[in-house]
Amino acid sequence: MWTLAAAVVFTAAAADAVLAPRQILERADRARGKLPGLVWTVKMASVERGRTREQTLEVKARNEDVLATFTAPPRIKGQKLLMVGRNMWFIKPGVSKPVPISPRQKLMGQAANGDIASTNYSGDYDGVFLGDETVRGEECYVLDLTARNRKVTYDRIKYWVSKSRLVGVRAEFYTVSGKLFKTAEFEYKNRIRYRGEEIPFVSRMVIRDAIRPQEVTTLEYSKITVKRLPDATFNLNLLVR
Amino acid sequence: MLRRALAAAAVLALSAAPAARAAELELRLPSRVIEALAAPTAPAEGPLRLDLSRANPWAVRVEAGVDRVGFRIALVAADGLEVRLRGTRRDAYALLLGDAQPLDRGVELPDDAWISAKERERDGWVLTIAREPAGEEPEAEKEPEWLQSLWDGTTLSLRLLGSHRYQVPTLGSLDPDNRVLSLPRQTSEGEVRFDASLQVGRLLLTAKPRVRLTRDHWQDGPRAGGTERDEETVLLEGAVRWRFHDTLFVSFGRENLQWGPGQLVNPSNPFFAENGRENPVREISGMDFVRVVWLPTYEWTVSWITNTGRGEGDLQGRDWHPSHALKVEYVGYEANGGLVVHGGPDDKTSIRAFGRWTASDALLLYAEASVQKGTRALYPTDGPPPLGLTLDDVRSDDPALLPFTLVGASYTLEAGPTLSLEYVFNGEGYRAGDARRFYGLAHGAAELVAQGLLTPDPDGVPTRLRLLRRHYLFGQYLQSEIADRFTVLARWTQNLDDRSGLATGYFEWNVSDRWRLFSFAAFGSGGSRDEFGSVVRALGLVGVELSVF
Repeated sequence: MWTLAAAVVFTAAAADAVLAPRQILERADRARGKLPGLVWTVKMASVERGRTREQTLEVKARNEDVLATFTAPPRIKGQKLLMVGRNMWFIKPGVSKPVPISPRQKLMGQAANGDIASTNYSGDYDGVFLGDETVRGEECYVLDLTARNRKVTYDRIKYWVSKSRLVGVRAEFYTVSGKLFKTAEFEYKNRIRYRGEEIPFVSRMVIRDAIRPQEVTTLEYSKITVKRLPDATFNLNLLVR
Repeated sequence: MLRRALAAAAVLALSAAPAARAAELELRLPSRVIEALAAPTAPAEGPLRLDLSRANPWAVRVEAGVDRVGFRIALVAADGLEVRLRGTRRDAYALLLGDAQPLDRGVELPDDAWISAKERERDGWVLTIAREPAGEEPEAEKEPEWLQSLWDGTTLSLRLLGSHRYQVPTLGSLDPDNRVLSLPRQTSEGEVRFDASLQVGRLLLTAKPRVRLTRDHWQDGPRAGGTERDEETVLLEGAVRWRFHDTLFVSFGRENLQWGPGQLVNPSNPFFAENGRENPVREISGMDFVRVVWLPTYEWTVSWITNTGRGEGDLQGRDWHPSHALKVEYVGYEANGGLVVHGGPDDKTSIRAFGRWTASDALLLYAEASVQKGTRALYPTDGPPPLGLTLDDVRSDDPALLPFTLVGASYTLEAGPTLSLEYVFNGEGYRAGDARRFYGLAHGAAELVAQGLLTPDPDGVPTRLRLLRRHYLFGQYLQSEIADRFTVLARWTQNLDDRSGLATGYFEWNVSDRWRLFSFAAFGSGGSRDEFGSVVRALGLVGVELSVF
């Protein structure tokens, strides 16, 4: 028994000592969609000036490529957001041409396009340990993420990652001037089976405006399916407008 | 060694279920190799490869490319795992000094692999590369039963639009008393827009039928006081697509094929003169195409496009001819672009290109171009009386290369709006002398129409040019969904040759989840012999849209 307990403690200590920020981010990214093929549904609810608006999207993601199709309400049904690497297009039924857009262009409420599309913190940011903190009763690594380049939506992210589950549970997004811009909290009640392993998957992301905290955008994730998505899914030439 | 054991233990501890165990291998970068990469003179690649092969016996293939600027190394394992490392001479020097940062930046691994440990030993760097067990890829999408496929792959939408347009013709010497163009002052329009897309197995069917009811009312010219009603049913788009393979698609039917990042015009698109960006409510009608799309790799797309029919396309005075295009596109991580070769039995062969670079989170830089020898555009030239001038394709055999280029940038402010600026050079466009003669001809013809000596052409005086003159500046302000309710699009096109300008504005108010109000306005500035001042002085449109489902 002592041997087993010692082994468990030893393994945990080893993980603590050896896991680099990059590895932690890789694992945390996986739970937000950075996988070779996933389809899920996101329901976005945005509260601004006391008014709530809802939108539903079907998201197909493969590593860093994302195709988000709006399915509700009827006014925006069929609109699509395609992201291939850092190339983004917005496709709207009735508007003849796919419009090239930047990651910064807003999606709705507090959510930038990058918020639903960006699952690649490990690729886009360099992480440094700031220490350990407890978030909602859970021991977390606190990481300071600095953008590797100017091509991401946020210049700096302070990111709390659960030590036991290796998923991001809280994030603070900062502008280049160091001003707190938004905060986000994540929940992981979804489970997906991937490569013989059951892993947690994000179920809820709540984004709050730092200056106007009453302005909140909630993203609820459901109907998650692990599926191989061919290149054609993310090819602009083959999208049905 | 102990640290490596700890690393392995950590990797195993990461796996929540015992079913998945990560495989590992060690990538060794001997100091001798790093010293050679950091040296000011490029080392011989043969010995480099040999040293890397000796240090990494697991690699079945080793490549090393070095030049004065940097290096690129690739090692391939027997199971296909490819590890790439690239960097600059300065990176190699940093590695010698013990800095691991170049490894974070420079190592490229497949998605299912990661660096689980980095260690500096006496004779160089050792990277432990962990990999997910093979053979557990996500399941391929099974071909569903056709009924299930039809259910999953069917999307339908129905929108009803109503709008009222008011326009003020210039009524100048180009269109005296509205006798030439006979522009209605007011137009009311109702439109049913039905979009259907059905996927049955490998077959995809799309259709966009439109039913339009139009009522025109004239207040100027010979038809003043008159009203005309019209109704039409058109197939705006409708195509059949067959998926032979995940990388090969063939389609036939009516499509609106748009590409290129330009907002004002898209010189890289030989088929459609308009891109519909000016007035987002107005739809561009499709033409008939046969299209073969092949995706040889993830980054590359090759399309063969044959324009088999005019369809409902608006040619803006141009004649329609069957034509073909070969389009090769590349999509990289932060840039994309394409090359198009277009031609046909009755069309000049042209080479066209477009490219876009996401320079930052907020900044896009882009360009488009086309070039061809000669042009079928019409130019004013000496003609028979009474006008003494006529329009002819006098530059058809011109050996000069005529470029049509656009360069642009768009920037999204943190507050939300996106600002775009573009410069366009139209090599086919009229020079001052051509423009002077063209307006002389147009005004002369208008005078003859006014005297009843000539029958007016409803298209005005077609030139086959997308833009009349040679130099343009274009600016755009776009604020999408301000407070989630409003969209504002304001555009200004400045003709730098004749100093005329065109301002357009589009405003959209999302009243509810189903109802949308929109308005569009355009104002032309300039004289009666300038591009934007010669036909319509002002135009305003208000409308409402109901999204039924």
